[in-house]
Amino acid sequence: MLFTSLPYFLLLAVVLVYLWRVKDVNAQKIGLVVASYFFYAQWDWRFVGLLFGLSAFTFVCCKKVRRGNDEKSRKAWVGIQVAGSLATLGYFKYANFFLQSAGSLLHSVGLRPGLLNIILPVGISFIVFEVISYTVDVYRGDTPYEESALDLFLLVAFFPHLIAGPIIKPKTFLPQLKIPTQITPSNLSSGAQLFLWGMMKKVLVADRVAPFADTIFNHPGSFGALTTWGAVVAYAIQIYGDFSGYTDMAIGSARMMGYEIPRNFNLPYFALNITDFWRRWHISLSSWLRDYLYFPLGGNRKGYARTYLNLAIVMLLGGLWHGASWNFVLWGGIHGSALALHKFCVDRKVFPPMPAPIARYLSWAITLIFVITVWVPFRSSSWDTTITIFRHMYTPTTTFTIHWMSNALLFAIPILFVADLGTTRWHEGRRLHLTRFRDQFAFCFCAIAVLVLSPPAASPFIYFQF
Amino acid sequence: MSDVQEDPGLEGRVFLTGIGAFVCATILWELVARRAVQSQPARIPFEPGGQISTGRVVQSDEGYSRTSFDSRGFRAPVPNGKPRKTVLVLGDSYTEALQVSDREAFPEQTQTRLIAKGMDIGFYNAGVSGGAPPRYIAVGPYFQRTLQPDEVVVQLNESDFSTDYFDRAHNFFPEKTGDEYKVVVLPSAGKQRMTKLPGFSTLLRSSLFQMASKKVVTGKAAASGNGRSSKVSAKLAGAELRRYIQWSVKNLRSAYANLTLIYVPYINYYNLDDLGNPCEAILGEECGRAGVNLIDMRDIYVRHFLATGVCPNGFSNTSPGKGHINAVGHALLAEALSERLEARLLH
Repeated sequence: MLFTSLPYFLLLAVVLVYLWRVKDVNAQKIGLVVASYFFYAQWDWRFVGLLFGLSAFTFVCCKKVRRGNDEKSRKAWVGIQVAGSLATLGYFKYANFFLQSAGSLLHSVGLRPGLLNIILPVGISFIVFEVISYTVDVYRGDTPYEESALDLFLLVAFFPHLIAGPIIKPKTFLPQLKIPTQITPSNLSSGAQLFLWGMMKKVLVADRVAPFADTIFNHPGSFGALTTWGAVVAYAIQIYGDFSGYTDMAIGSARMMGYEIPRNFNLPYFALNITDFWRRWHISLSSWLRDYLYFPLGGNRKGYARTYLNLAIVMLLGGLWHGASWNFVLWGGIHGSALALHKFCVDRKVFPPMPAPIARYLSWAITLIFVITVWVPFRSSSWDTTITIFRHMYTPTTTFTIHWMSNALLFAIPILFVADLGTTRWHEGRRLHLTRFRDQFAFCFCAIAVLVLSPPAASPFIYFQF
Repeated sequence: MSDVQEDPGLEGRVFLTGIGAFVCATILWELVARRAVQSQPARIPFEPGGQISTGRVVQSDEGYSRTSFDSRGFRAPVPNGKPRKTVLVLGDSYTEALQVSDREAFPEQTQTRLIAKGMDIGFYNAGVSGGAPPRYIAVGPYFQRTLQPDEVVVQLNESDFSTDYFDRAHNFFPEKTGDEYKVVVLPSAGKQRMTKLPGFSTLLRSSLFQMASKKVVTGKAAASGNGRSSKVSAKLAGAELRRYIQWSVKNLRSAYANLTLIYVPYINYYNLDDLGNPCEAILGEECGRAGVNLIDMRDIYVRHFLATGVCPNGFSNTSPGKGHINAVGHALLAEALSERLEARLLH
């Protein structure tokens, strides 16, 4: 049930009507949980039990954490919950990866394990991170333990963020569940606007450039340098349009229901350095990694060398979180190294003095080229593809070109600017006033544009595979 | 939005202005879409059977074109007056060529080349999406009577020899009788939504409605895991395939005295060793046996691709190497056809 599909619109409409008619807070929450489980079941009904199980397991562990007599037992229960959640993630997502990676080593000692027949539950990475964040927050006292399992179940399963985030901070979301939500014209209006901006980014930008990125990455050795660069830029646009578009639709859906979930992107391709980039890209994930991995590792409190190491470790694991592939580990490792290097340069003040505007533009350009280039291993289906793409990017070749691929980029880039401008203004509180004919017309015009200008075939959301 | 609580009439006004805004936006987009994005032609009954397109067409899903079909179903531009020599071109969507402009379609390009060599010649593009040998055979008497072409060109590809056309969803389909086939003609095809719902004909013909319908169908097909909205075609094989191709060639030759066949192959540009469907080789053999002129575009397209790196298939809004032939593919086809026809027409 994609956010851009008719069944999702119907589900959202039913939920909105339900929340509008039902005023009791518990009845509202029950309805939302039912709707969320129904939503998840549309992806694969077999894993509804897993979602329920993880939530129930977390509830029980947190109960023990809350009621633990001493620090040791409380910590132990946190450890049990985190280990159990990560084991679940590890089994579904990484078992075959480790078996394959260890294959040659195991073969050398006479073991030949086959691969397991495992289906990856959609959204498992996000679900696991959500339950871990709740557990650790309860332990730290950042969020009170919820006596009602309903609130926890809804935090984890809330359907706008269930499949691909944003990862919600329990302390910001749970208080919203204490009072009945209200379906107001204001929330409907602002939520619908953000939803529309997100849809434009996904359908008119990401889906438009996807065929070119897909073609080059599926046949990496067949294209010249310029075309390969074009495809890498196209993928950078695609992944941003796709993921930020999805997030906008998630936040917009939640807003229509009267709930606030956090912003996940803040114009990341305008970042001035790699540290700035990670404050703007997938904000909920980088916040999670900071709060639950970087800080427990010591953060920047144990000296320069340890700080750089912590950054590298966090990003390596962050890369691995995205997928069971050495390509993702490479991607994370490169970003971690860049973060460490940037921190080193800032700490040691190694940047040469230069006029502010030049420094700014140079910094932005280097960051953008770096980020775009490093998307290559993220997108590549194999190590060979990564190497081939890099080679074709940086070596003049005579293989054939798609010089008319630029049409899609010429179409997508302006729309991305417009949609991003709309999203940024939305987050700043500047929204269309849908009581005025002019703004109503603009909204309807953009909504119909999505229908008219969308490509014949939609691409799946990229982050749904994580 | 607290204004709503203070002014009870505001809700009603907002609702009405909202309806007005939606209608205005819809009308504006309908005008834009009809002119520049998608506009389906009208469909009128065709004397031999089924329907033909007439009127203006805009297509932007694969490639782009804005063209029109005349009252006889010929794609623009239709020759002025009565040229000394007329060439009828039959084929499917590769000939109808809604992916390229009027000037880029191969019948027009071939005509331009031959006129440049001093011939008084006119090409009539009767390509129809979904066309196949049964149709080309059945419409022969009609065109012989109405157009009296001096030459007939029939474009084929591998889908002509699949079982796609063996069902009653098509106006002209082959029915097997023993070891032979015969063409069955149905007076009309598919659902006649216009006649069933005359009151909604304007809505049904609107570009926005057609685009929305197509998205729903594509979405359903994608959700069910089938990339096509129709059933997957099975390929004819072995002796049956040869029998069908033999029958097609024999009957096309009977229907049209001066016949040239063009075969537009499927080519895997990422693996040129993949020679695709065996029907290509069988077609070549049967044409040789029957003495029918055949142009197989495979070598020409592959040579061009290897020399220039440009695929004759694919468009800027799809994928290179996939789908219908583009302007380059049409130009190469026109070049090959004009050389063959020039030789025939001058003798």
